[in-house]
Amino acid sequence: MSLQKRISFETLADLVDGCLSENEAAEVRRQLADADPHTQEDLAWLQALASFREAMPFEAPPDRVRQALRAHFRRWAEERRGPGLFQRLVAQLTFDSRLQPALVGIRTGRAEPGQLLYTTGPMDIELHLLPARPDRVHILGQALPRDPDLDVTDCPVQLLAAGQEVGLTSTNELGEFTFEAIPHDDYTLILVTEEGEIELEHVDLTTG
Amino acid sequence: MLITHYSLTRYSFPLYAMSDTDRKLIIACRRGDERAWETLIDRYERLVFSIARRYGLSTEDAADVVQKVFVILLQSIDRLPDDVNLGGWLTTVARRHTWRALARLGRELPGEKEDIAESVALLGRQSPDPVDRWELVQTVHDALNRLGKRCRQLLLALYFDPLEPSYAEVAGRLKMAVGSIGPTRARCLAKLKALLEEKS
Repeated sequence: MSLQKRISFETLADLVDGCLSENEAAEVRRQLADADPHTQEDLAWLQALASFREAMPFEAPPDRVRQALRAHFRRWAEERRGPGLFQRLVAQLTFDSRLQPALVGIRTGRAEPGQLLYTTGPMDIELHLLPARPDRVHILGQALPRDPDLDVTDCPVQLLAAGQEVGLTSTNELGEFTFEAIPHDDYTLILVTEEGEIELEHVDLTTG
Repeated sequence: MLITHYSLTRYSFPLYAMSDTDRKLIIACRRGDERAWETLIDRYERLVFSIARRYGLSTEDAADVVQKVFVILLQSIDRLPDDVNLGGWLTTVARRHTWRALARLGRELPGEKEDIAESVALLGRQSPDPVDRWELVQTVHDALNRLGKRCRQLLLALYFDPLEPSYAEVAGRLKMAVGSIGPTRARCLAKLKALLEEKS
C-alpha cells in the first residue's frame, strides 16, 4: 500500500493559478494521483474559488461614484436628513378589511380574501390577499399614483422577510404585481419608482 | 483530479449578522464621521457594483446603481437594526435597483431560473434558489472583508481586478517584493478558506 502524500497549499495555488511551468504542472498532477484527502480538498476549494472569481469579479466602481458619495455624505451630515433627490417613504396602513366586522348572517368555514390599503404622499398601494394552499396566500397588488403622470410601469417590487429577499417582481403597465403562494409571515414590501422607494412595513399575510 | 461539486463553504445560511466593525461604522456615520462612511464604501462598493455588472449593466449604469444604493443606505441608516447583515441588506437593495435599471433600459428582466443561474456552476452548490446563491456571493465578500487589510488588498488585486495586473504590477502597487507575492498569496488564500469554513 502506498503512502498518501500531502502537497503544499502554495503549490496547489500555483497549479490552479497557472504559475507553474508545463513540466512542473505535469509533475504536480502526477503526484495528485497519490495525494491525501487534505490535498484533494485543498485543490477542490482552490478550483471552486477560481470558478467563483471568473463568474463574480468584485471590481471597484469608477472613481466618480466615490466622489459623488463623499459629497452626498457631506451634505447629508450638514443637513442631517435634508431633502434628497431620491426619497425613501414608509407607507401607512390605512385600511384592513380583516378588521371589519363580518356581515350579519354570513357564515363561512373557509379563509376569506383580505384587502389592505397603504398610503403615502405620492400614491396608494393596494394589496389583495387570496388564500392559496394551507397557510399560503397569493398577493395581488397595485400601485395607484395620485399624479396620473407618474409612471408606475416596470417598478421593481421586492418582498422581504426578516431582511431577506423572498421574492422580486415588477409592475405591469397598470402598476399591478403578483406574488404567488407566499407563506404566512410578517413581511416588508418595497416598491421602487424613479422618484424613490416606498416601503410597506409589517405586511401580515394572514387571511380572515 | 477535478472535484466538480465542491463548495467554497459547507455550512448552511443564514449569514453572519452585522459584524462589530460594520456596527461601529454605522454608529460613526450617524454622527457624521466621513472616514467611517469612506470605510463602509470601501467594504461594500465592489459587492454592489459587481451585482449590477453581473446582470449585464454597463459600467456607467452599474455605477449609477452603486450611487443609488449607498444614498439609500444613508437615508436608512437611522433605522437599520443592530443585528442587520449589512452585506445582505445592500445586496437586496442592489438587486431591486438593478432590476429598475434593466427595466428603464428596456432590457429583458431575468426569469427566476435564469437569475444568476450560472453561479450553480461557479460555486459547486446545487441550490435551485437564486436568492440562496446570492447569499453565497455575500459570504465570500464578507470573508474577504474579514481578512487583514494586506491580505484583502493582495487577493483583490490578484484575483478580482479586471485588468489582471502582473505580479510585478501588484508588487509595485502594494510595495511588496515580487518574490513574496506567491507565498503571501498562498497564506492569504488559506486564511480565506479558514474563514469560509469556520462555521461549517
